Amino acid sequence: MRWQELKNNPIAKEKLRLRGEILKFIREFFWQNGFLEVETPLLVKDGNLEPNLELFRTELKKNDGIKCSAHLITSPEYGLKKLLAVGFPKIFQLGKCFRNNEPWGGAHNPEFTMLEWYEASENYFGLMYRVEKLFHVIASHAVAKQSRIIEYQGRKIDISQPWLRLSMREVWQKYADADLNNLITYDTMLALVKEKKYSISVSDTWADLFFKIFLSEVEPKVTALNQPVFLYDYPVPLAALSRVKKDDQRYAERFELYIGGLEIANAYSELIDWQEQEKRFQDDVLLRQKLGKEMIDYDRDLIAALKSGLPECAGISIGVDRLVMLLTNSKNIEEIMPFTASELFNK
Amino acid sequence: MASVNEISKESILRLNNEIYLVMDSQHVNPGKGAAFVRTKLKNIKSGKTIEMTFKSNESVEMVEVERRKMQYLYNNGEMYSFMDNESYEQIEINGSLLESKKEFLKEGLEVMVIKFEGVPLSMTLPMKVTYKIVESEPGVKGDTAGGNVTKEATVENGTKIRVPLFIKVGEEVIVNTETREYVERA
Repeated sequence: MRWQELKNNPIAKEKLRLRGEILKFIREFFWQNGFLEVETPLLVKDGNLEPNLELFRTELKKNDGIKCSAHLITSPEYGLKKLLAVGFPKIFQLGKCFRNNEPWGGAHNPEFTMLEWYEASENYFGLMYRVEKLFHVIASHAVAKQSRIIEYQGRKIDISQPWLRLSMREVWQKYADADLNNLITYDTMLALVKEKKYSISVSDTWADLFFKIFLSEVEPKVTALNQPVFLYDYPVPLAALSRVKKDDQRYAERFELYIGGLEIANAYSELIDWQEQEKRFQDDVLLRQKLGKEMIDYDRDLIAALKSGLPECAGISIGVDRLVMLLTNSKNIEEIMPFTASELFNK
Repeated sequence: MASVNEISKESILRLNNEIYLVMDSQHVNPGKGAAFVRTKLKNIKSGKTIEMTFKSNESVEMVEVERRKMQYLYNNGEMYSFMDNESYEQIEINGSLLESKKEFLKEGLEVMVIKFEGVPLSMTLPMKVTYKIVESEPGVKGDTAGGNVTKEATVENGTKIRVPLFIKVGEEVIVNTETREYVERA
């Protein structure tokens, strides 16, 4: 029983206390920096459209007997963007998100805590700076005190700022010996994957081919660095909800943050062009169909909100559980949650 | 052919006409990407290790292997000797194929040896093994904030592990050979 472990093991219990403290520092940081805390719904009609994620589906009953399908969000991004359109320039949400059909343990639990914030008149480079400040506040109060080094799973991570900023093209050049500029078409990427002797299936998209090389040759090298790394400028097929770079249409203004082997954050200069957004949504609907995923409609209300005008802005989501894992030197997400899916469902 | 989801450590694959031993396999879901299986494969002929990522819906060719229960005898330089519990046949495996697993071998330990076409390639350790602590500093109460209330200890075969502060020299402890972590007092 997990509660027994917590009762008998002061180390396990201390990690939960630190978790609570970290949540407090996050809230204080945002209030001090002029942000408003908002709570957009976790229970929605259609849910996030991301083709590679599986939603939790449930059924809503109205008291007149009418039933409709409902989903739990995988991220609060749609709701938050609508509030940006309303005219709140700096907002954050700290709450639960849900993803079904993922492996448990390691860095995953089906219910997890996400910190997501948006800032008007800002871009992804501005967010990197904000992340560094947030991390500094949390780490210096909660864990590392004045230390420049945190220990994570036998590694010593140098958290001195500024953190490393590496572009996707740079790391591909360095670790996969390939120029991403020359790999933007399906055929060029396919030829490289073949040359490197990876397996190929007919259903592979450009992104799948990209990840076969990236996950084997590039990401392990980036995550082995003993410093936090902002990996930025993703190829356009991986743009998700980020905007394309003005000076180079091959890349999008997106970054991910890696610390000590953990994928901590994902961020964008947000796409605010409603027509481009609607087109990407329609592509995702088709891709979901192709992948045999549950068919859901895209959020037309979000398109209408974008149409009404969204300021230039940037947004980021941070996996709070992973941040807590890092700061408490925990190998498994189960060590820093009170009760996890495997505790609740594996009995 | 088998789904790539079915492979695990110690599986043997045929890939591009070469035979590989799976040293590590891990499910990864990159942000906004599909599900993948990232593997570390050792070419059993050349000894070279490669990283290879598959999409989780792909198939791979698994090859038939023979698994025999054997006990560990001793090592002589690079080579590690084991004896078949039934036939008393003795075999040797090169230490490079055993990677860090060899640090958990101790005389008489029963392991599962994996053979392909008659040639021993690898072995799997029992998940939990008991060892005697032969060296460790007495525990000092230090900074407990990060949850690191452990100290280094050396066990009977010379391997170093982390144990809680209260463990003393001469005690026997159970170690998880997969995670290399202390489990409990034996």
